[in-house]
Amino acid sequence: MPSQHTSQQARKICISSGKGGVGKTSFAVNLAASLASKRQKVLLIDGDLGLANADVLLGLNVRHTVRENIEEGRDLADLLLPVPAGFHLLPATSGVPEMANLSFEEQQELTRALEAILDRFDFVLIDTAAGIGDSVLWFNAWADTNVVIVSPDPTSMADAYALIKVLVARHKKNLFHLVTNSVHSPEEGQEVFAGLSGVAARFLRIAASHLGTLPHDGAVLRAIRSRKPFLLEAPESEASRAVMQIADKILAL
Amino acid sequence: MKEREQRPDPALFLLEAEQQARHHRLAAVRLQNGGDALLGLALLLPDLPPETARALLSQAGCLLAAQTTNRPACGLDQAGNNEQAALLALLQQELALHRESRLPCSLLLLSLPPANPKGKAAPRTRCQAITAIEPLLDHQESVAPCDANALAVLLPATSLGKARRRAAAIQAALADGPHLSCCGLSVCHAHEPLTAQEFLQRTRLELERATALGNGALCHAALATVDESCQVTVEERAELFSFLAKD
Repeated sequence: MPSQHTSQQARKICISSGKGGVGKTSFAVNLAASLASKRQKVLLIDGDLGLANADVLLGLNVRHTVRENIEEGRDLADLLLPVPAGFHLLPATSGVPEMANLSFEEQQELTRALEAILDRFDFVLIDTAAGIGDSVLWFNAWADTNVVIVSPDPTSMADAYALIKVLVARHKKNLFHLVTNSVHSPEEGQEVFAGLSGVAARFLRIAASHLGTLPHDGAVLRAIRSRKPFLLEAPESEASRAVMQIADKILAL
Repeated sequence: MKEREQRPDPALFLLEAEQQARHHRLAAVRLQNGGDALLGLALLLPDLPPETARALLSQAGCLLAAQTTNRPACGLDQAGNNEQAALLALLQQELALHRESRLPCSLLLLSLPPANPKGKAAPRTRCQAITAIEPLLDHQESVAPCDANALAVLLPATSLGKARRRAAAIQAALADGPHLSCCGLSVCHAHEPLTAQEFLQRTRLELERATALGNGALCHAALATVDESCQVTVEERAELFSFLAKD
């Protein structure tokens, strides 16, 4: 647990995609690592509360999860796990349907517990579940910065747009930061961004910024298989350079 | 003198200008006061962000009102007509957008206290109210004069529950003044074929009900409907994938 408190509350960044398998968790883990490498105190919350896997990509075997806070009232600070990549992880459970469907009261309790530890960090990243379930919407509503990952796959674009639309309609969110993933060229990333942001501007009248593009890079797949952040496994890879640039942009927001 | 006689009829000129606008990539917004008669025409650049267009149309209504403020009573009536025409144009544009997005659209009318014997709120009071409301509005929302005694607040992409909370916040902001405003609220869903005039009229009826109740009452009209407002529409998907077809 970080001993020094930051001067102000952490910025809460929610990372979602709508569709599963787009690269949310890989991006979240590596963004956390890149922010940590820039001397930021970072907490990564595994927001896929019932099917967590941030710990999988970090090569961890966790025994204590956020479930102990929700069900037993255990102090959240005791559940934060320092990881070698230089940040803290709040792990969640895998295979617990109840955790994926928290009641309103449980959500409120967890929010209060999270708020109580915010001032220990500069950034709190939330890697949400796929879809537009309660927890996804609730974490996005709670966050002050909303990042949406999208790939050139039309189903990814459709789901990302649906997620954005729900957040606009139900939670009055009006600014989204897009990350285009698994693209074969910067131009392709720009096209995907232009397509999605253009439709959002026209129909929903909201703004979107392009945080950056993560290339289709073999180093990413190799790092996933070795259960380590690609930023550490292949720091010179295109993907690592891209995620560091995104971290710079986030620091400048 | 002869030259003056040859000038076209103003209404005809507006129609011609509207047709000409089509050749210049300009968006022509008809200003009508309920009926079919064309009373004015606003020409806007096609790429203007909707909020800018709304602000300009709203501003046009305010300017017309300000220009006639010092005129005799008949001038005030004309100002009211102009304001309403500008408001209807604003609603018309908003309803067109909301039918494409299928997000609900709310309209809030706020009564203002009468400030002179003729029962019309002084423009200064309206300006004060607008000044008090504007900081509360999100980027998509706008406030405009509705008539001599009421302001309209347009709340795009806002369902009934949220609109009621917005209304309460706006009432609270205005309550710092001498009176508590009454509110009429109406929500238009995408499947409702409401014209701007009907939307305004429905909201006006709610304001009349609220005013009869008095003491800051809020009355609302919204069809009981299944919330389908978040469903992605065919139009949205078509545009989303249009860039793929360019490959």
